[in-house]
Amino acid sequence: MSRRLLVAAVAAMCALAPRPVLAHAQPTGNYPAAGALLSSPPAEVTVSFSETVSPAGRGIHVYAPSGIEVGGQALPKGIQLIAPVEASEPGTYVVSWQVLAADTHPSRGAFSFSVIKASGNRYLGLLSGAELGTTTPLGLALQTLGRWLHFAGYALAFGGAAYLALIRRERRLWRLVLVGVGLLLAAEPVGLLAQLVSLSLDTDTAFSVLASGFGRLLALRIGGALLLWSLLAVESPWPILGLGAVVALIDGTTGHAVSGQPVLGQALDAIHVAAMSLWAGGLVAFLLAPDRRFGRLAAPAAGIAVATGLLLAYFHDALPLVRFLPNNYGWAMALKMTAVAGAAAVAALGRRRLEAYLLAAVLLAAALVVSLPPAQ
Amino acid sequence: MRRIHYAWAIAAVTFIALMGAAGFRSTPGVLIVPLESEFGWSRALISGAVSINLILFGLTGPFAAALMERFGMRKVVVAALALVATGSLLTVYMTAPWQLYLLWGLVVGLGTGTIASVLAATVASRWFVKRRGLVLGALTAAGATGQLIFLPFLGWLAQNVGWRWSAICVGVAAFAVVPLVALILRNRPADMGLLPYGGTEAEPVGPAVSGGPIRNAFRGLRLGVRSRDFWLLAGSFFICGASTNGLIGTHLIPASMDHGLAEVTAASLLAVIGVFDVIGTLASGYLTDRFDSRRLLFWYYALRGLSLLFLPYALGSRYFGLVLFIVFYGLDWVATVPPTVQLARRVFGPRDMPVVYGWIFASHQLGAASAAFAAGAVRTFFGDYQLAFMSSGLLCLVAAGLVLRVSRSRWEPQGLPAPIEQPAFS
Repeated sequence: MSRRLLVAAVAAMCALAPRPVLAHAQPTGNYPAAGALLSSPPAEVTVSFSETVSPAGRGIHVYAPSGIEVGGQALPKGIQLIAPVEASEPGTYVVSWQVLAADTHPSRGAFSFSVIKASGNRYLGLLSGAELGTTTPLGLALQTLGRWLHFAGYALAFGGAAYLALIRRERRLWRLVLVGVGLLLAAEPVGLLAQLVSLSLDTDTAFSVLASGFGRLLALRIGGALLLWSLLAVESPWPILGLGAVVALIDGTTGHAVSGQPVLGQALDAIHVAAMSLWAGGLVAFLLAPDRRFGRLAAPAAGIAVATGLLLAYFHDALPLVRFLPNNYGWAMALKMTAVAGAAAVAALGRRRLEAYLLAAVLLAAALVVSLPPAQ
Repeated sequence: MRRIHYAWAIAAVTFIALMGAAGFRSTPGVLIVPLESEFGWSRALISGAVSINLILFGLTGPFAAALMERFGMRKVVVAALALVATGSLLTVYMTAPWQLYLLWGLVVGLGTGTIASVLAATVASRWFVKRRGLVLGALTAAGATGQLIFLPFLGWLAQNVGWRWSAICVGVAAFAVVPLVALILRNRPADMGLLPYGGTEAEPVGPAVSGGPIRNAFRGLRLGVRSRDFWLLAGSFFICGASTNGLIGTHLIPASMDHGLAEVTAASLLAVIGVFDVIGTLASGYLTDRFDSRRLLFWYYALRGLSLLFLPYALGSRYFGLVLFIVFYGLDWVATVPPTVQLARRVFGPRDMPVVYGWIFASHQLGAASAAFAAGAVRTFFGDYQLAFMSSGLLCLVAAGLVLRVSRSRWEPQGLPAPIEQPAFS
């Protein structure tokens, strides 16, 4: 009976949900057009995006043929970013932009245009830099690492607390929660560094990133970890579990948004992250202090994690995986799904240690998925 | 008919003295502009004297506690009031900057520093068992009340009649309190053959501390630094000072003006904080009598930290969010004092608490001074306060963790008198 209800609810949600995907801001066009040859200098440079953005630092840098910077501070206007420019010098100009999307994901890119005639420009190298989506390989690697640390820390802290609350009170399991707190704290500097490497490593950008929504969320996440550390003094798992729910909601705001349904997207994301960490963290706790009753926690948590994961994939239009396989995002998704299926299979065989390794791989793949721009 | 316990008379007279001292201490603030225009001294020069005053206010505590231990509260408070009065009255004849430094900085700083948080802690600790927290709350709120009452009046005098009249007014008021203190203030209940209010037996004070007051002040410091609980309390109090007087007290007005609020509106925000401070501190005293001080402090610091993390959002929203922040922050302003004093008393005992608490309070003032400086520097380099607010918020969350770890082995309720050790039955 309840299962049928669940299916009906899921079907209703799928039917009601709108399709298009939003996440990392993607450039949709710019003025002057890339490679354009203009007969008179433009008064401003405009980059349009797939969603509203905020500039990181200057937002748009415009380099004149002589190498000097000629652009002013970029200001957002709707889904456009506009910077005034003084381009009287004839020759080729290089424009590089860096923005933060509403969900704090960084993007950057570059293009060039010429006024009256084409010429050399020492910044032309910016056009051919190795890019992955709208970020650099190093930036992507660091973002993935930061998120992995965060997911792992979250899983150990809250999965461990859930194990303490529901399955077994054992003193040494508090150590597990403490390690989780350490990982949660370590994840934040890595995340900040990743953000800077993905944009540009200068103090100007650092200040604007810290002063942006990213900075506020960074503070909230560190705050969550510190509160968690405070609560460890009381040695009761219940307040920690309550806090875990709040942190999951905060995490939801940085997941890839579901267009038009921000609350739904965040809520699903929060449930997904919470269920996954109960499964993974609970499993580590089980390995330290085995208890037959673990199945009571693991089975429902795994079920909810998989169900919400499929729903999220559906909303992000990523279920027909074949369409995206040529894309990095598609590969990361495929990796994640394979690892989940593997973990479920070895769990059925009772190979708990192997299951734990596979779940660590799942978290890594999840970190990669949220760091990559979704498929277009 | 039951007579009113003498402890209440002690509390009342202490309240008046504390209220006055807080008012006197804030006077230099209203004098900056008139002194600037009369003598042509630079603002930096005058601020230097104010800084000395503030540093001494913070550092006098442990020495004042040691002096009270040696000579008794009455003599020490009378001497401090006389210092304030003399320093204040002599400024009328001031002609050179060094006189300002000597009088407002040194003499008034020492005087008001003696009549401060440590006095409140000592009076509440010695004279009250029942309602000790509430009395601590009231005496702590006396400071905010004093500033709320005196500051506008002294400011008005300085602006309309002349700054000398403000100084004379402070001097006369300080002298006026002297007979009250001399007649009513007593050192210990035992001196009058009384028990502390709500006490069932005279508390064993332990052997009196011998040696000079300065040596004893440092003895208290040595006692403190060897104890883990001292560092937890002093660390959390450092953060308390940093997040109240240092950060919000100094920088809320410029930060709100950055976000487009008029200066008058912004300044009235601080006045609102003052009013809610009085309410919050009283309430905290009441709660301290009923709940575990560590849990109370955890909530105070955690909520303060979270409200600082949300302040950047509130400043963006202008009115509703900001008003909510102000009310909440005001309630939480020095609400931390009663539970902190209570914990210090529990950890260090009634005899050593005043001196050790003096050092903990000094850490509070040190925190305030460093945050005022650091937030200004952050604003200068970043062009925005968000980072300063967020990092203070995170520090408050650290403080929330520190206080929960004070004397971890003992978890019984704090408001009640310490349980008497039961002899083991064989």
